[in-house]
Amino acid sequence: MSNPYDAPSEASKSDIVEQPRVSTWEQMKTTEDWWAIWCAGLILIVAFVAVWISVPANFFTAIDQGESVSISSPLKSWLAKPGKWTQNPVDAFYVAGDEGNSATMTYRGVLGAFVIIGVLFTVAMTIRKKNAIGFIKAFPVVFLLATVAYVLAGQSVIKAYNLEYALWALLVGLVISNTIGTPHRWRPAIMTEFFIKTGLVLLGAEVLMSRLMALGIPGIGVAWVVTPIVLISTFVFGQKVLKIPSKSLNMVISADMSVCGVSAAIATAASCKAKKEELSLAIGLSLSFTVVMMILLPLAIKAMGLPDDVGGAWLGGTIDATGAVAVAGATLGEEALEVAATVKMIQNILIGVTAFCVAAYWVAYVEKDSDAAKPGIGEIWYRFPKFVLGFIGASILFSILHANLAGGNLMIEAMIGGSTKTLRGWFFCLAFVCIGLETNFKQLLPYFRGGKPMILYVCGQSLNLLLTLIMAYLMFGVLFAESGQ
Amino acid sequence: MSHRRIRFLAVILAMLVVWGVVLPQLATTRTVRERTQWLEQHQIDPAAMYYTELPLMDRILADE
Repeated sequence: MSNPYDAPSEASKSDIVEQPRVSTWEQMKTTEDWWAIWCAGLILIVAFVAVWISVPANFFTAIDQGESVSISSPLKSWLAKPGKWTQNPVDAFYVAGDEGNSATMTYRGVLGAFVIIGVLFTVAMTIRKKNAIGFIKAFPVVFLLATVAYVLAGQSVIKAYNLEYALWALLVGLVISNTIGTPHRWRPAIMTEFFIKTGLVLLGAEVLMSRLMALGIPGIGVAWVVTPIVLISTFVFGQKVLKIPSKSLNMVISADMSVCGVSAAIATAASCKAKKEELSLAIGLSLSFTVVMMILLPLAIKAMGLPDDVGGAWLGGTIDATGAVAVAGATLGEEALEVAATVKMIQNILIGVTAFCVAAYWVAYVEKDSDAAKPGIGEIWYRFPKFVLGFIGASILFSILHANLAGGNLMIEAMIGGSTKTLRGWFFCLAFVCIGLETNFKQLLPYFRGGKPMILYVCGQSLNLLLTLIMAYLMFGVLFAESGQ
Repeated sequence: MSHRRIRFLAVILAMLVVWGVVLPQLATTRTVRERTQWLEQHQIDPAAMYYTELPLMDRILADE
């Protein structure tokens, strides 16, 4: 993403300073994109090897014989985020055991995440010849703020109403930057892009292609046919009709509304180098409408008398946030819940393709001068955000291992559930704290003028609701109604 | 004390009141308790950002 202090309009040619070209080899040693790949790659290798070497001796025999086996990552107890609490925030870190239940000690996992991210990034900063000492001094403060954000998000009332940690992480940062101001000595640890890109490469391992056919063709129809149509239509509408000045803002809103909310917004914003304020605005819009849709859509489905599977598919294809989809589905019943959650999962997997296509479109068409010829392959490669390759590469590699390795599905799931998912959450939480610390409310105001972002969201979501309803009805109510899917 | 520090302390105080008093009180109401139990019963984390954060997906995918 670009610097928050850039003007909202495109930079003029006179502002652009020609940077000396560096070779790919040199980029691999120094740039943030490549270092995000190295850091996340190392985490993924260690996490997978930890599971691989800890499987029981009879694991592969049991798999061959079709027996049920359960495995977990040995790193699980050393990596955690603050847990849920209701009355006392200390419960987020430690809950004493009682009859039959062992004590919950998330504080150990929180410290583990702090040490791993701190050490990894300090080494990366040192090799990249950046201010590693400044990072070591400032990182504990930024990590503490991310922990506070997780504690705020973990309160049971907040958690029950779909208010994700991204919102509270932004709030924590914004409170500081807009009151006492962000101290200069914290700057070396405010590395929004590095945190986001590393988190995204880790997320790649969770984008498992083998999940795509979980609902067969009906699921693909709702999640992978309608979604790209809505995304492209909304983006074109934003450019041609609303004439939104910032293409990246238009793209981030279009993607987070059509694909899957915050996670899609993060991936797209990084791919099209959107400004931090644009990501904050898109996430704010998405979370606000998600809460409304989570309540109203199940009521509409009941009023329309739609079958549970059609209703579930409609919910899964339209509500942005994954958690909110499950809540809305569960209010309709078990079948609607399962269809809704599975459609959303299939749509989640679209993030990888979306990030790649947006990055390719941006370097080939948006970033080129209007009077220049279409850039060649070499130029596209040079400008392409390389972390997207790590994201896609992790997705392909772990999809193959998940589908083809003996017991691979169990090992990959143990790896994700026991370690990489937690670290990915920390990276995103740290990134949102950093965005808050770098954002001044005054910088957000120009984006609200004319209400165009909200009009874009409402129009795009209306199209999404209509097309998804038609496709859900066609797939689950007509063409595949007998298949029992 | 500077104007900026007063604003900062006011925001922190407001957050302490909301998270320390208001939300814990709300959590004891019947509506919220029932909703929390209902979510736990269905293994739903409403704040899940990605499908791997939804506990119920393990059950759904195992049933396939």
